[in-house]
Amino acid sequence: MEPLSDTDCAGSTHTFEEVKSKRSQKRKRAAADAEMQPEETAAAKRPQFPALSGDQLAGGEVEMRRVPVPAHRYSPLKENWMKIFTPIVEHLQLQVRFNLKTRNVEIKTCRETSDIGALTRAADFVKAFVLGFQVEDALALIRLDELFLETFDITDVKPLKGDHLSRAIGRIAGKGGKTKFTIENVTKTRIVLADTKVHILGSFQNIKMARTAICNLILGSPPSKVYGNIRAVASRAAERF
Amino acid sequence: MASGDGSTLESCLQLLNSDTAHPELFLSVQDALATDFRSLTKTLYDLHKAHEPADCKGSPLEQLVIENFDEEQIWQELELQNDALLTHFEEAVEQAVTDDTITFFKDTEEEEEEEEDVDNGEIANSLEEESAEEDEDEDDDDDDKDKEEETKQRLKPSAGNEDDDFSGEDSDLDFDVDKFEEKNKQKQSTAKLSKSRSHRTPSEVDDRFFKLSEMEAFLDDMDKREGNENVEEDIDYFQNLPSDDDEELTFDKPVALTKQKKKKSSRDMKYKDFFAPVDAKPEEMDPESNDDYEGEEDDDNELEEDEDDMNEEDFDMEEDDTGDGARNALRKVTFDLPDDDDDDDDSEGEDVEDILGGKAKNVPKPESKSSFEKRQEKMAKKIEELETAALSEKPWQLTGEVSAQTRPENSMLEEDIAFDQASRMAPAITEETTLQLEEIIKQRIKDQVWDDVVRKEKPKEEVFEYKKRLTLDHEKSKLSLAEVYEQEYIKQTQEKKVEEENPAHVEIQKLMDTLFLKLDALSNFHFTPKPHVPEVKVVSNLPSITMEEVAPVNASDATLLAPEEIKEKNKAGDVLGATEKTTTDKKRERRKKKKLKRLKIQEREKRQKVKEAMKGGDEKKKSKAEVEQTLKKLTKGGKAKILTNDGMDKALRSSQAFFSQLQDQVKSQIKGSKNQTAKKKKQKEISVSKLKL
Repeated sequence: MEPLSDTDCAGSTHTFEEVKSKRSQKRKRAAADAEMQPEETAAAKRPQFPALSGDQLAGGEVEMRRVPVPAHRYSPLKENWMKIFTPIVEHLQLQVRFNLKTRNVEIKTCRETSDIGALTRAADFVKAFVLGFQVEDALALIRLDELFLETFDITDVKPLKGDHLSRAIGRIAGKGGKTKFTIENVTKTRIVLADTKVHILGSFQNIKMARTAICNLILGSPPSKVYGNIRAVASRAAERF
Repeated sequence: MASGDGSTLESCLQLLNSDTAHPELFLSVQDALATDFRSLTKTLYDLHKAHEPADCKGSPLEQLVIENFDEEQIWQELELQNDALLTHFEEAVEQAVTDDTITFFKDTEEEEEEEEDVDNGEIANSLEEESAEEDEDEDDDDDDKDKEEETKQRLKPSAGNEDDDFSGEDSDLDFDVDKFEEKNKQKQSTAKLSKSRSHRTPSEVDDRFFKLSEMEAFLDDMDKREGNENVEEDIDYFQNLPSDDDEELTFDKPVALTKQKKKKSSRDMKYKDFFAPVDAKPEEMDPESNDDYEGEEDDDNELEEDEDDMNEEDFDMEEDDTGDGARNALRKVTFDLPDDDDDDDDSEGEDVEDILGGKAKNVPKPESKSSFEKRQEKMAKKIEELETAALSEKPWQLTGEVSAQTRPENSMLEEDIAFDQASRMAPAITEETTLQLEEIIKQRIKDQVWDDVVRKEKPKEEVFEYKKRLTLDHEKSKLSLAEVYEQEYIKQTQEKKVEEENPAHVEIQKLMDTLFLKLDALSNFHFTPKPHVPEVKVVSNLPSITMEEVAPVNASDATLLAPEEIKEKNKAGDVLGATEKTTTDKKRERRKKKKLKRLKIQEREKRQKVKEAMKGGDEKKKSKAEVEQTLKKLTKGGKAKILTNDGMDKALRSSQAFFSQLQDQVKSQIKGSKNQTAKKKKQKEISVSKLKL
């Protein structure tokens, strides 16, 4: 109850009394209550929790990821092992090893791991390398958040067989890889052309652009036309940002 | 008593006459004469008071006190007396007027008097005197009136200012009655004169009621009559006929007609009987006014037992009747009711002419018709007209679409037509619009804002230059993806840095560099100048939009060069696909290609010849490459064959072998051609035989 009520009525009437509006009274009451609570109840304190560390977030458990390595990537893995594990261990604070028996790269969290998403990123990095990308290109996955990896088959776009398929692959690649490099440069992506599979690494928009270009090539348009299109699209995209 | 009074009166009159003999004296104040007048007033007042009858009470003052009294005070004394007697006199006058026993004689003496203007001053105290006597014997009214008039006449020349003012109110009443009577008599006399209604010469004293010329004429007439003692009962046919207006007023009508005495009792008399209508002019009102008074004259005349002239009465009667008719004719009161649209002269009112029966409209009822009947007639007439209009052909205005042939010539000019116009009207050129335009022009000139056309210039950029700008790197990028994104990020962040760079710092740096260079040059023994740093101008390879267009970047994606500048258009216009090309197109293309190729080859050969010509004198031995080239050219077509020095070619062993081989070749060729023709024939034969079988 408001302390004003009874005492004022009993008091002298010759002086003017300030009558407060009910609305403001309500609000003030609510505010007062809110304030009073922490003051009043000393026992029921608001719990103050310190920030959790990474391993604590996981619940004290150790998480592990396994990336299988095909045979043809075995020797490149061996050659670039230093370059692979250094950023994982140093920057992401993870534990990594190559299981020779299962031919898997295993990545594990430890106590020092602060970032939750580090494990995923490391796994993606290794996967990208295993697919066929360069280490430096795959390293971008660790450094940048927004990069993604897309894979699709040529026959998904158009059912091709035999020579046509080969020609399509040839169109995508171009003479000495010219077309592929052009698409990479314009769209700021990295493309890996593995037989009938196409892997694209880059940001979402760029992946889309590259995919469109490759699909056009698969469907049969000449490279010059594709260049023109991607140039236009890329310039438009560049203008926006 | 009377004689005493008379003597005093005489003496007073004498005094007055003597004093007023020279009116020019009154231009200045005459004190002596004023005292005389005062004393005169006193004597008259005293005299009157002495003779005052018992029943009429004046003021309590028996004598007029004038010693040491102001004019104002004397005047008030008199006023006392006059006010008191006023009511008394009013009653007396009323009685006199309404009294039937009293008759008014028309005396020649009275007619000689003139009363144009109302001079109240005439009727001074003497009137009161006389009226007092009048009460006693009413039968002597006529005489009294005679006396009054005589005194009026006598008192007229009294020019005393004070005297004039004294008896204003009293005199009004008396005056009205007297004047009225005299006017009547006068008008009667003038009416007789109106026989000969020649043009009256207007004089100064003329009024609505009185015409000096008329009066004089009447007087002459009366003189004649007195002389003749012959009153004409018959009509004088040789009289001057009066003017048009007065025709109806002539008194030449036969007496029989006028025997109708249209008597008007005094009770039925209205304003118009007494007075002329307000709007009418005095000249015109003569007949009417005369008529009015003549109407009254009848009543008065009736009272008279002595009727002087039968004719006069007759005249009056005639005038009365004709006067009414004349009045009506002149007035021509018609009801101005609203007419129907179609009717022109139709009026639903009752024309005066109809009432009077002037025109014979309806034969069956020549006498007066009732108003209802007349209305009905008019209604019927209208109905007829409407019916005919409805049945007949409509005018061209009401017949829908009308062309020029169906309506009369130039009839559209007379019509006021309202129509809608679909297109906008041309702007009306008025003075205002031109002025406005001129103002705008002037303002433009002052502001130097011209509408000049800017010359358009085609941007001279070749297609390949444009292509060069947008370079497509066909090689594997040296940077890794991470580095690419890194660089992009740095570029984005660096832009801000560039803006934040202080231009002052740049300037300072420049100055310092030049200074140090100079110092170095001076200080170093072996002077090595700093390498020239080429000024790099960074041209960003962004699309032209970001550089040039003002519109927001996201809005459009147009590029600088037009499509034609990127790829040149075909002269024909269309770019034909492989399947769309006709044979002529293909052949055209082929020809074009061949021509271009030929030109190229020719140019190359020319260059070679020039080269050989240049070199020609020096060496005849050709280089190996040139030799090989020539060999290749020769063997290309397959015409020539290079004979290699293996064991296979026999021809190279000896010349005999070579020539024999050659001979064999030629022979075989000839045979071959012969065989071909034979084979062809055989084939034909076979087919024929087969067919037969």
